[in-house]
This record gives sequence, C-alpha cells and structure tokens, in this order.
Amino acid sequence: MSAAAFKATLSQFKITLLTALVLCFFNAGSILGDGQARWFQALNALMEYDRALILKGEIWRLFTGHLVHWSAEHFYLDALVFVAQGIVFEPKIGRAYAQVLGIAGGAIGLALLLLQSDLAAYRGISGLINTQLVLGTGLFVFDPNLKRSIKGFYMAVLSVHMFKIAYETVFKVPFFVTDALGDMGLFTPLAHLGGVMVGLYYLLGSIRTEAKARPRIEMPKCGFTPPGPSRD
Amino acid sequence: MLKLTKTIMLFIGTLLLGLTGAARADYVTLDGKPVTQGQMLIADAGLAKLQASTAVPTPTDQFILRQTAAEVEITGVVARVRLRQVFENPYDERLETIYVFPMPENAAVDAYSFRIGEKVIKGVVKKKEEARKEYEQAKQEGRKAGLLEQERPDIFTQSLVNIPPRATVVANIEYVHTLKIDGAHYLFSFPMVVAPRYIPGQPVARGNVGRGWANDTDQVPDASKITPQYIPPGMRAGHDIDVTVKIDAGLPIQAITGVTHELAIHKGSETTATVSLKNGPVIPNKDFVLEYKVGGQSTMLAAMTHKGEGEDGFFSIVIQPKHSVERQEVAPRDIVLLLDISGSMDGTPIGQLRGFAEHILGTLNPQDRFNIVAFNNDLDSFASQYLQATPENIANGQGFIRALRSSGGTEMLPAIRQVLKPASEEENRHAYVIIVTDALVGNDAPILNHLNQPQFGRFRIYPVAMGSAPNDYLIQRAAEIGRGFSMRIANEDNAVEIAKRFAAKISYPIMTDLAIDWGQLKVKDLLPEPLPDLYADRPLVLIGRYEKSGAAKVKLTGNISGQKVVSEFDLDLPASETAHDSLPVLWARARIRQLTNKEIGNISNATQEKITALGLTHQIVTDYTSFIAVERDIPGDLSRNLRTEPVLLAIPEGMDHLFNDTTQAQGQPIFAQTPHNAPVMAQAEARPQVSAPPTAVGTPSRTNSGGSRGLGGGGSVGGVSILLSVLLLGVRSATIILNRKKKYN
Repeated sequence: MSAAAFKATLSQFKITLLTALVLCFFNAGSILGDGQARWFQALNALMEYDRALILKGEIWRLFTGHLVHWSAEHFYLDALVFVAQGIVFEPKIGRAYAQVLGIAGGAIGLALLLLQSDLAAYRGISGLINTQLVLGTGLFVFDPNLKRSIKGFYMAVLSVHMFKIAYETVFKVPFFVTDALGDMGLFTPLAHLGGVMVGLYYLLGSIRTEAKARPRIEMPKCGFTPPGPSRD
Repeated sequence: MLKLTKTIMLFIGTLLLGLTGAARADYVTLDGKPVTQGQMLIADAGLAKLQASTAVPTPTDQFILRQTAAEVEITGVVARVRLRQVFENPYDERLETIYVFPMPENAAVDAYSFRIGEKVIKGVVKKKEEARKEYEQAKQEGRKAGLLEQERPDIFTQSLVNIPPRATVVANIEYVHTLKIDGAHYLFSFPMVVAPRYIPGQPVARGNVGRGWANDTDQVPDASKITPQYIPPGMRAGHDIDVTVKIDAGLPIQAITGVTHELAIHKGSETTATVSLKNGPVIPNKDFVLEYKVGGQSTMLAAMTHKGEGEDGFFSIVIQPKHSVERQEVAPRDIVLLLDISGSMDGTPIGQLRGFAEHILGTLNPQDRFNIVAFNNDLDSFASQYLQATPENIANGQGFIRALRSSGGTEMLPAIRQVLKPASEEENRHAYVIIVTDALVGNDAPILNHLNQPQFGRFRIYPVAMGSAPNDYLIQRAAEIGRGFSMRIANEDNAVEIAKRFAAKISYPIMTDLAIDWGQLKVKDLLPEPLPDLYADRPLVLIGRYEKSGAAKVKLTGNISGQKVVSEFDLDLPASETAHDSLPVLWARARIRQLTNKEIGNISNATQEKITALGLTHQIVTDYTSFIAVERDIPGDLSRNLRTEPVLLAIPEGMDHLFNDTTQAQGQPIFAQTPHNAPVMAQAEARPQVSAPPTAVGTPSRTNSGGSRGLGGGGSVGGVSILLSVLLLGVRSATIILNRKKKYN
C-alpha cells in the first residue's frame, strides 16, 4: 500500500484514532498504576462526572466524564470496543461522527443528572459506544446498496444489542458482563440507554433526510422491477 | 464467493466464542449464574472444594450445633425472641461444648433451659461466680449442665457439659428488647454471628481467661472470650438459622422490607403480619434486619403497662412530639468525619463509606467548618485544622475520601483522642463527630469511657454502622453517651440514600431540655435519666414504674432553637394489668444500662452490687449474673472421657479476606497469628495503600471506585459488546476484502 493510500485509509478513522489517543492520555493514571500517576488521578478527578460539582457549575464534567475510567481494566475494555466499532462505523457515519459523539456525551451526562439523582460519580465511554453502535448498525441496515444477507447481519447485531440494553434497563444488572470488569462501581444502565436514544435520534433523522433526497420511482403496474442501484 | 464469506464469518465467530469462553473460564459463581458485578468470584480451583463443602460441609464430627431457630413476636415496640439451638454430640465420649453467639445489645435474657430426651432442665439466674462454680462442680461430677454468661451486652457464651455420646440437646433461650424507631419506620435486628474483632494492646502476663483465638491484653483483658473460632475459609457452617417474625404493630402496617434477606410475608389483619425467610433457613453469616413502616400520626405511638397485685406497676411509652419545625437556619457547625479504613471494612463497606462521606461533605453549609480523619493502625487527617466548607475545600475533601483504601487494624481509640479535644474559648460552636465504622474492636470500654469525659461536652457523636455484622454495642452506646444517634448501612443498602436521611436529620433543630409533667400520676424510676435530646423523627422511648393507678394529661416540654414547645398526651395507668409481663425485665435492663453508662470502663463495687441485685431480682443475665441449669435428679456418669469443643462460627459475609490458607486449620482471622495481635494485623492485612496527602488540602485523587450503590457509576462495556465489536470488525473487513477481490476479478 502506498503512503498516500495508507494516509487515505487512516483518514477514514481519524476521529476514532484521535479519540483513542485522547483516551490513552487521560487514562494514563490507570495504565501506569496508582503510585506513579498522581497527577493523572488528580486530572481524572477534575474530569469525572460528579453530580454535586456539576450542580455547582462545573458543567464540563457532563462531557469529560466519558473520557476517564475507574481502572485499567475498565479503560482497556472500553477503549478496545470503542476503537473496533469506530473503525467500522466512522466511515459510515461520515462527517457527522464527531458531532454525534459530542452531542451524545452531553445528552448522556444530562440524563444522568436529571434522572439518576443517587449517582454521585460516573466514568466511562460506554454510553458513546452505544450511540455509535446503534447509529452505525442502523445506517447499514437501511443502506439500500447492501446485500440482504449483510443487512441481516447488522440487523442481528442491532437486535442483540437492543435486547441487551432492554435487559439491563429492566433488571438493572449487566447482561453477560465479563469478570474482568472488577471493582468499578455502580453499573449504570441509564448511560447506555441514553447513548442508544441519541443513536436512534440520529438514525431517524438520517433516514428521513435520505427519504426526502431520494428520487421517487414510479412503480409500473405490470410488475416490472426497475433496475436498482449497484450492489455492494 | 458467498461460501468463502460464510466460512470466514463462521471461523471468526467460532474463534470469538472460544476466546470469550476461555476468558470466562477462570471464574464462575456457585450457582452457575452469570458473573455480575458485586457477586463473589470463586476461582475454579476453589469451586470444587466449596461445592463439596456445601454438600458435605466438612467431616461430620466437627459440627456440634446442628440447627438454630428463632421465633420472634413483636408487640408494639417490644420484641420477644425465642431461640432454639439443637446440639448433637457426634463422639463416643462425653462432650462439653462452648458456643459464643450474639444478641441485640439491649436484649434482656430472661429464660434459659435445655432439654435432653424428654427431660427439661430449667435455668436460674445466680451470681456469675456462683453459677460458674456450680457448673464446674457438675462437670466434675458428670452431671449435665448448661451455663449462659454475658461477655458483652451483645455477646453471650453458652457452655453445655456432659452431653452423653451421640445424644442431642436442645437449648432454649428467651430474650426481650425494644425495637429501634426512626419516624414511621420500625427496625428489628437479629444478629447471627460475632464478627472477628481487632484486639489492641499488649498481652498480659497471666494466662487467657477464655478459649478464643486472641490473647488477653492490657486494653482487652477478656479478649479470649469474645474472639470465637471460625469455620475454615471455603467451607460453610454446619448449621442454618431459621427466623420467623410475628408482628402485631398496633398501628396499620404500610410496608415490610427485608433489608438483608428475602422475605415471605403473610399479612394477617391491617396491623398484623407474619414474616419468614423466603428461601428457608440461611447460613448464619450476617445480621437479619427487618424494617416495617406503620401509619398513624398521633404523638403517642405506643403505651404498655403491667401491674401485679400489691406490686409496683411498670409502663413504657413511645412519644413522638409533633411540631412544625423548619430546617435549621444555619447555626455554624464543626463537622468531623472519622472514617474507619481498617481491613475489616474492605469490600462493600469501604465503597459505601466513600459514598456516604462524600455525600455528607456535599451537604455542608458555607459557614460550617470540617475535617476528615481516616484511621486504621495510623491516622490520616485531611487537614491539620478545621477548614471552611468552601466549594474548593469540599471538592478536595471528596478527593481525599475517594482515595481511601482499607487495610490494617482498627486503632479507634487514638483516632477518637485525636478528634475530641477540650474546647477552647473561641470554639463555642456545635461540633458533630460522624464515625463511620463497623466498630469491630475489642476495647469497647476504654473507647466509651473516653467519649464519656465531661470536657468533651460540645461534641455530639453520630456513629454509622457498616458491614454485615457490626459491633452494635459500641455503636449504640457511643451514640447514647455522645448525645447523638446512630444509623446502619447494611451491605445491601444504598449508602447515598442513607446519607441523605442522615444529613436531613442533623440539619433540623434538636429538641433539648426535655422535661415531663406527670400531673397527678405518681411515676418513679423513669428511664432514661436524664432525658435525652430529641432529633427530628426520632421518638422518645420511656420506661418507668408507678405506685398508684390513675389517669392524667401528661405534658412534655422542650426547647427548639430557643423556643419552648409543649406536647400533651393522655396516659392511663391501670390498677391491675397482667399483659406485657416483659416490662419489668425491660425496665431492669434499662436501669442496668443507665448505671453502666455512668461508670463505663470503671464500674465501682457499689454499682456492681446494684446490677447484681437487679439481675437476681428480675432473673436476667448481666455482667455479674448468669443462668445456670444443672440436672440434679440423676447421678453423674463419669464412665467416658470428657471432650471439649467449641462451636465454630460462619465467617461473616464479606470478611473472607480476613482469613487465609495458613489459618484454615484454626479458623482464626489472619490477625491472630502471634500473641501480640495488633501489629500483626497491620502487617498481615497491609496492602498497597494510597493515602491522600497527610496535611492541609488533599489532592483530589481517586484510585478506584467503591462498589457501593449510588457512589460511582461505571459506564462499561460487557462481554456482549466485546463480542459484537469484534464480529463487526471481522465482517466489515471480510466484506471490504471480498468487494475488492470482486472488483479486480
């Protein structure tokens, strides 16, 4: 692969990669270990979602809380999933990707603030992961250029994920969680649900826009099927 | 091409499933359910042992106590508990067994007997030394005997001797106590296990007085009596406990909640209900806590009387004065959070401690001052002096709290000494000391004695009990002596919710200078004396005696924020009343409590005599009186050897970390390895501790979140998300590769 091609490939995931670098920096405290990362821990404490301090005006915490994590395991798992999904979905979501993440961050923080008053503190990017998964898979599902089998796959992924979110929201326990998560505090289904809602909001908006933009094709009465767009 | 796509997807899927399976194979739960946060994780290697131990606990002959059943009858605010303990001698020798078990700290034990075969041998209360002497004599003569002694108000020892080979003995113990009341909520607690306590001090030269794992020390001279041995880690107790509670609330019951256990609830009428354990008998490894809410808004919540012919009558009343009080108009306060970060607080309690303390800090007013002191073997103060409760200082304080981790011993007394200092002239503001702890220490008396010093009058003490089996005696007495109140955070509780309730209570004005005008009634020996201060939603529970019957309007006066308030209620003291015969016993226990509190840690001979007389008159167990039951009809049998074995206790829930492999054989906590317990606990439990800066303003830092509900949210992905992500990545890559191939073909 030429340098230009490599650069072009990387540019498709630039927000994902940039976010990954930012995550690595802010979670250096967890990566380096407790004893060597006091400065990072102090920084994390300034960034985490802290209900009391947000109410006192530190509203940046609504956004920055997603970028810090409770432990190395928590960070590794979240970052792995975020990057993997970002690579798949960022090219699909396109230019709106950064905006979607930003809006989702604020919306999730706000939802926690308004709807979960017993939550004192929160850290983790999983809410945003939910947004990108729902929006990304949804866009694939509604992509008219995709084969039905591939669409079926994305539909299956979306269904499994929605079931997971519903299960967690109803029963308030993690669904099929890995034991590596360890001691990271309260499981917060509302953050996941908030992420899903933002993803769905963007998805519906996208479908509506696309429907308006798409030229209407009159269906002939004789059952003739017009030639469709080229298959993926 | 399609076949190739399918093959690749199948391969990726299989690989991922395999990887996920492999990743999960290290840990499973006992019941096979998916591992979720907050569940105990058991390494595979240990699972077989534990599963085996669940089916067949350990070699059968190690278990002597076979079953315990508690039948509880609650009438109004009084609970009567009937305990039935079934012991079995699994040996071919005579057996002496010693069982150290807990009771509520305000329980009055007023009946004891044991049954062997068809014969019931009833106990009588005698002076402690006398009862012990009779027991030893019976032991020598081969007679069957039972002895029930009090070690602490909440720890009792039952000794049964000369149980014949392979025989079964059923011991019956009865006690009464009053419930704790918080507003409309009534709390019944049934302790099941004595948790291991930290024993500070230097070993004494004499031998130990008991058979426990700890040596007696200068600070805890009876340490060996309050430190029973435990079932080895990974194994379960040989007996379960069944609890049935019949409630006759006298007021409409609105809700019943099992705080610590799942309950099966059968409602009788509007005011009655029967409650039992939903899943049958349970492992006795934590307190059973039941809360119920009643309706009704009257000032007089309950009134009970008892009067025999020609005797003084007894009465108990529960009053909740109704006043429309506003939240306190910010009288400046000094608030100290004294936080226990010892090893026994590890796990859920330390997470709850963080959540509770952080929330309390967040509720301070700008004119308040505060400090935080964390203690284990060492003291770690947030600041060298009180800091103003500015947003910056509070945020820094919360950072300090978040960085706290649990390890080491529980040196509570030095921490209290550090915090309670005589007031200087300019320090005339209210000072509230909130002690968040499981209080698992053996030196209760020196701690309470220190709190009792008159020079600390400006301090009010608010203990908050944590964990599965806290030291309720120390918690309740500290609150009483410190003119505060206590709260309980069970492992299942939401710490932040309780912090909210706590903060609300201390922000309402306190009713002080209480006095009662009994009108025409001749009331005497009223307890508690002096009358305590009254907090919002906390009722006044009074018990006293009367000579003559009569009815009158009783007037309770008090002072709220400088304003005199008056509550009136009608009281009828009958000439004869046979019901509520436990009132004399409850009164005697309350009187003993009052006598003890005044001289705690240094009881004079005169007070000892008074307590002994009360014990003998009312036939209750005290520090100086015990129940003794001896079979006298049948001559003793000395034909077999006598074997002595303790009943091993279940390790309290969440405290497995205090026990390790090296102590398995002994069933002792890890701080019991050498005669000098205190420093060993510190070494044995020492873990890398991230301590916040020792002085001045702490750097906000958080190394990890607590596992507490309501504290820190973890926005985290789970196994499904990981699986889906890798699948997505794989399928997307495969699709792109295949499309490219197609394009070039």
